[in-house]
Amino acid sequence: MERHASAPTVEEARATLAEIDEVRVATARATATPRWYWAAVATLISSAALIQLLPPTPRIALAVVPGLATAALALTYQRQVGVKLNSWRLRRMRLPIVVLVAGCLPLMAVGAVGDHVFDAPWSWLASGALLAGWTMACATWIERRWESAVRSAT
Amino acid sequence: MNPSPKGFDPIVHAPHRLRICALLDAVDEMEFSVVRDTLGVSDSVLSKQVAVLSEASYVEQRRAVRNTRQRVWLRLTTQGRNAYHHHVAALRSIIGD
Repeated sequence: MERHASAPTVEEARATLAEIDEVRVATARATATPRWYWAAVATLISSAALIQLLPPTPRIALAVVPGLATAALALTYQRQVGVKLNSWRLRRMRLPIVVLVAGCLPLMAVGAVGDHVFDAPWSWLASGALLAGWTMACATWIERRWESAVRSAT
Repeated sequence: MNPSPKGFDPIVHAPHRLRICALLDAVDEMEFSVVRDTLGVSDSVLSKQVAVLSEASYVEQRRAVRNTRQRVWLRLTTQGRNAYHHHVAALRSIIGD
């Protein structure tokens, strides 16, 4: 059924906006990221710390692997589910993303300081565990914000 | 008949097309089958409405192979995104939001 080309009445406009909101809720549900995806991301991020326990040659060779693997995981997942989106475009997603990335830096520093200042290489293990936990905590925050972020997307 | 407010777009305003735009506006690109399932419409209805939006240069279609099957990906063009945003703003202005 085609609507007429003239402007709708106040009631029709209200109903149309409500319809848009319903579509946005359906979109949020269709694009919600499963828990296993975040668990995989957490594992990859924590591997950046665990790699530091390796001897210099493999450590240098594997330095960029966690970043590349995380990007590859995101691309493959989006291709498989048939939805490509840039979370940064969703304004309400920016804060959790910035907090996730910014929080990873001091947690990596835990390993670096422990290893180089206190000569405790095992601190990289603690750093990896903290990174994984931090990623999962931020993932929970992202999941909770997802629907409202998609609904308010412009 | 009410005069159309600034930004009101009759191409976007048709119910199915408005829903397609609302869906695609939240993502970069979405596969045809995912759009169809999310909106709960048939292939033919979606194809017809996407054709109208493509003709207006509001939606772009891209073909890609996945698991040996050809898939169609849909995305809003910049023009389509702007038209949709202006249309929503026009609807909001009607209700005085």
